Amino acid sequence: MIEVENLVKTFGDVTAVDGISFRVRKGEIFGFLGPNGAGKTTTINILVGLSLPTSGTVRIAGLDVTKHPIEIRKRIGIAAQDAYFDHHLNIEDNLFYHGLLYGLPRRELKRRVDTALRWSNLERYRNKKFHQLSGGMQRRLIVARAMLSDPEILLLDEPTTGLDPQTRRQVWKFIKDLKVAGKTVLLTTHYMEEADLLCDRIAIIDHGRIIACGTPDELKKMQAKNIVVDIKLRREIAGNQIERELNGIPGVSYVKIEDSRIRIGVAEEATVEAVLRSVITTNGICELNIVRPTLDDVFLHLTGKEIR
Amino acid sequence: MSLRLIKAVLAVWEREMYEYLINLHINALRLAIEPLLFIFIFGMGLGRRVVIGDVDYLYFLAPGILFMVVVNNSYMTISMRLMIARDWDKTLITALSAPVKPFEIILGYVLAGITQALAACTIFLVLMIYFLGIPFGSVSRVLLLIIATAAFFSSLGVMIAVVLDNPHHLMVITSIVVLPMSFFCGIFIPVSDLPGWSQPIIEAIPLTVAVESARAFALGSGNPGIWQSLAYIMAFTIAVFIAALYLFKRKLII
Repeated sequence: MIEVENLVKTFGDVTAVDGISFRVRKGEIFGFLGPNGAGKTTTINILVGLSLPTSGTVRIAGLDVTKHPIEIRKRIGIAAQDAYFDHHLNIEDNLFYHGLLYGLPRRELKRRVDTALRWSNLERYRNKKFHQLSGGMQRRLIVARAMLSDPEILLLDEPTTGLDPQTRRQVWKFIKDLKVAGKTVLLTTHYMEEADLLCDRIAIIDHGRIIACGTPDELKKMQAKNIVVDIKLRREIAGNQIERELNGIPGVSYVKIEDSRIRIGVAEEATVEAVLRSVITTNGICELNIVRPTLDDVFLHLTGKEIR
Repeated sequence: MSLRLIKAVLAVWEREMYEYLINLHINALRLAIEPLLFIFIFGMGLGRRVVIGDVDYLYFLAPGILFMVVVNNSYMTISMRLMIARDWDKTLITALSAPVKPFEIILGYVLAGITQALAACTIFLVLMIYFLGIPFGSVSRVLLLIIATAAFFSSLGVMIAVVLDNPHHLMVITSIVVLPMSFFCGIFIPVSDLPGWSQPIIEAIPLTVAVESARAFALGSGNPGIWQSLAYIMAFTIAVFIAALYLFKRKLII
């Protein structure tokens, strides 16, 4: 459904997207996982024609984005990261005038606006302005607006950023419903849990490059040969010294320290003993777990850093 | 012209008109006070002591103020609306992600500027003709001049709003370009009273052509040739529209 080959986008000296290639299949939820500034939104903007590629090709439903932007936009609904709503109009009017841009007949459009409000559970708020809605309602409305034209493909750019955990789960349910409705979804996120829970396949992107791509399980299996040692210490520690010490042990791929907790990726079992010796001699161990790698560990291993 | 193009242009136009209508009380107040103040203070107050040629100043002034109404309702409104759509509520990004071309978006805004200028000028003309008895000659010819001038200033509004990155600069441009244009293009004083070196420049500005043509029709002083005037203004309009389109694409599709 979406085919991207060697896509490059530069802004002056800055390379925002650096030769990425990926394919999104019909009916799947494909996740773009990466930190802020990784190139996710730039890629979305190129897909929808808001930005032009420096080089490479992007085809959606077999059509080149640079040659057939109008045909492609008819097939795409975009839920942007920022809320672009007219602050003077109520949400019903906002939806109506957005739908009008798609050339929908008025009667049909009014029916679809009603459906979108019902689907997003916002019928009671149709006369409210966008800024009068809660964060979760706003996100649902943004996705509902993207659905107005009944597109085959939905581009959801950071759909749950800034939401509390409970509201985030509501939006996840909402996104799962899109898959049930047969939509192809390209989702960008910097939340590991979100990507793991929602996506059929994930591309991990950093500094404009895709560094791994696969199903969540495939990505975790890439780490399967690695062991993750999760240790809770008796007291909080100053990170730098122990981090240096652990990183100096051969076979340690990454170290993540948070308060009194240390998470260490190691390449082989033999290394675990060296790690434990190092930690025990200077700090008491309160709790020890050898765990399966999560997507967080995959990202840490591949990039050497956490997503923030 | 395809059906899709017409629908896209009308969608942009209708949205702008809806926004204009729900704020009509504010728009009407803003747009009515300034021209009426000029008519009452300069035309009926100070103007009683002034005669231009053998014409009462009020009769001289009214066609000029009519085109001040055009500028206020096209350039001022459209440049401000477009800047809000681009920088504040960012609905321009939403429009660009829909199946609508930049050309169609700009045309929708220009049509909205023409419609708003026509509506305001119609009210102004009714007030002038029926309440103050000021002649305007052939109303249909004046309306054609209003449409052409509004198209020019709406396109200019789009161009300026696209070029500027800071909303405060819009006020500056209005103060140093548009406001002086209103004063020097024959609205308040005849161009022939301005310094000789400036007259060819002032005469070349489309606003001057519109004001002098409308005044000639109103006062019955000569026959400026409506089609020549319209063609002249439309040539400028097309040039500014093309420039606005080029800049719009360059700034917004990066």
